[in-house]
Amino acid sequence: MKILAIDTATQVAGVALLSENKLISESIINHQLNHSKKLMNTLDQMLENVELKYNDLDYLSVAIGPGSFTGLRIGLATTKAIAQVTNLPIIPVSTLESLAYNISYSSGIVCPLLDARRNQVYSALFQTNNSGKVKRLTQDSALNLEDLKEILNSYNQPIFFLGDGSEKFMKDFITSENRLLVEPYLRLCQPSSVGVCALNHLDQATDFIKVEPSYLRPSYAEENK
Amino acid sequence: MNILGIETSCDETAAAIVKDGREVLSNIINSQIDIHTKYGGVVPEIASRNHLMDLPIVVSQALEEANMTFNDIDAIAVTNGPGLVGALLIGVSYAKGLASTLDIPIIGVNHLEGHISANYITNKELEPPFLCLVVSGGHTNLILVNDYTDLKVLGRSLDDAAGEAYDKIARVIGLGYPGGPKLEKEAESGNPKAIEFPRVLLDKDSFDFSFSGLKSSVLNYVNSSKQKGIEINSHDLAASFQQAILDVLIEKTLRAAKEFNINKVAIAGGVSANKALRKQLTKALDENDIEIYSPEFIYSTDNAAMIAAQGYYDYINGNISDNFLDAVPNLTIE
Repeated sequence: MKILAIDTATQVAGVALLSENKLISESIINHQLNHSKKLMNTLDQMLENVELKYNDLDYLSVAIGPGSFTGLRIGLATTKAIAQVTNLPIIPVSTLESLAYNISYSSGIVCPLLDARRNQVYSALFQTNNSGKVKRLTQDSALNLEDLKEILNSYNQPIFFLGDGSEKFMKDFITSENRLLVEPYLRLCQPSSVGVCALNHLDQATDFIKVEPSYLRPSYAEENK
Repeated sequence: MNILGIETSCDETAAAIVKDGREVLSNIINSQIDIHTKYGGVVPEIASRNHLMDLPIVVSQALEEANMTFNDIDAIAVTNGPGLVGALLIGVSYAKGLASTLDIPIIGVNHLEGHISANYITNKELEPPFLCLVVSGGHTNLILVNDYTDLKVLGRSLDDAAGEAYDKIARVIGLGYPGGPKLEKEAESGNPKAIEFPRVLLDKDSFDFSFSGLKSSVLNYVNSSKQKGIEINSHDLAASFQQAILDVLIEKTLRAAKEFNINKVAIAGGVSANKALRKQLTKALDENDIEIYSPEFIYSTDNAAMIAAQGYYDYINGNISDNFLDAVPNLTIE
C-alpha cells in the first residue's frame, strides 16, 4: 500500500511518499511562503524520481489545518484535483497531530504550537509512551496563551514543545526542567509524519468533495459582523 | 481541441469546456453574490473559502453538461490574474493539479484578455484587428487587439473603474449592493440632462479614464441638497450620473477608433451589458460606419468560457505555462 502526503499548512512545503514499512521519498522546502509556485513541481519530480505514477498509489493524505489559511487551501486544492482525476481516497490529517508523530517515540505530553497571532496559539495535546503510538488528549483549538498555560499545569509529566510557534513562545511555556523544546529539525512540519498519521487513520478516508480545511477560526469579516 | 476553462478571480466560481476557442460545450457559473451581499461587498477570505469547496463540483458539472470525462480534455486554461490573490490561488493550484495528473498542458490566462475573447464566442466572424472597450466592476480599459495574443492597452482608469463608481453611487442613493444593475434600472425613468455633472476627459490626447472627480461631484450634490433640504430625485440623479460616464466612454472609444483607423469595435466586461451604453455607443459608431460587437450577457460577466476561449488562442500561439504558474493579482496585458 502506497500513500502520498502533502503539507503546505505552515512555511514548510512538503511532500512524501510512503508505504506501511518504508519511507520511499520525502521533500521539504523550508524557505519562503510561495507554495503555489513550488508544490506541483516538487510533487511531479518526486514521482518521477521513484518511477511511480498516480495509478500506483492507494491513498492521498493532506494536512488540513490548522495553519495558514492560504497555505491550507493550496494543499487542499491540489489534493482535491489529483483525487478528482484519479478517484483516490483522501485521508485528512490534523497539522497538530502530524507534528506529534515527529516524536512519537518520546514519552510524555506532546504540545504542538502554531502561531495563531492575536496572542493565541493553535494547539492540542497528545500522549506518547516510547511505543510510536500517539494518543490524542485534547481537540485542536485556537487558545489564549494563558488558558493553555493553565491546562498544561495539570500535567505532571515531561512536556515536549514543537511546531513553528514553539520558539516564539518558549519563554511562556518552557518554565521548568521537564518542559523541553524539541530540536529544530524535528520541530517543523514533516510530510512523512502526515503520511504516518494518515496510515493510523485509514478509516477516515473520504473523497475530494467532502474533504475540507480545519481553519479553527471564522473569517475576520464573519467574526466582526 | 477541447479546453477546460477555470475562473476564480473574484466571487464567481466558474468552469467551462470550449471547443476550438469558439464553441461552448458547457458553461457553469456558481455566483457567491448572495453570500457577500450581507457584507456590502466581496470579502476575499470568504470568497477563497467558498471557491475551494465549490470548484471541484463546478468542474464535475461542466464535464457532465458537455457529456465528457477528463480524458476528452486536451488542455486546461485558468485565470492567473488580475484579481484577488487568495481567490486566484484556488483556481491556479487546482488547475495545475488537474493538468499534471492528466499530463496535459496548462495555460495561464489574463482575466481581461478573457473578457475580450468572450466576443469570439458570440461573434463567430469577429477576428482581429479591432478595438475593445472593457468595462466592469474592476476595470475600465480601452485595448487595441492587433491579434489574438498581441494586445495594446491604449487607456485605462487612473482611479475608480466605471463599475466601481456605479457601485459607490448606488450605495449613496441607497440602492444596495451590487449597485450597477440597480442604478441602471433607476436611471431608465430619469432625465439624463437634469443635473450637470463633469465629464473628465483628462488631456485631449489621452485615452485614460478618471471617474473619482465625477463621484465626488455626485456626493457633493447629494450633501448640499440634503443641507438645503431639497428632495433628491434619485431617477434623475442616476440618469445624469450615468450619462456623464457614458459620454466619456463613448468619446474616447470613437476617437481611438478614428485615430487607429479601426472599423470594428467590441465591448466586454460586466458593464457592457448596460443597455444605455450599448444603445448610445451603437448609434455613435453607426454614424461613423464602424461595426460594433458585443458578447451575450452570460459571457459578459465573469465566466470560464471566455477563459477557455482566450486559452485556445494562447495555446496555438505557443503561450503555454508550466508547473510554476502562479497567481499574479496585478497582472497586466503585455
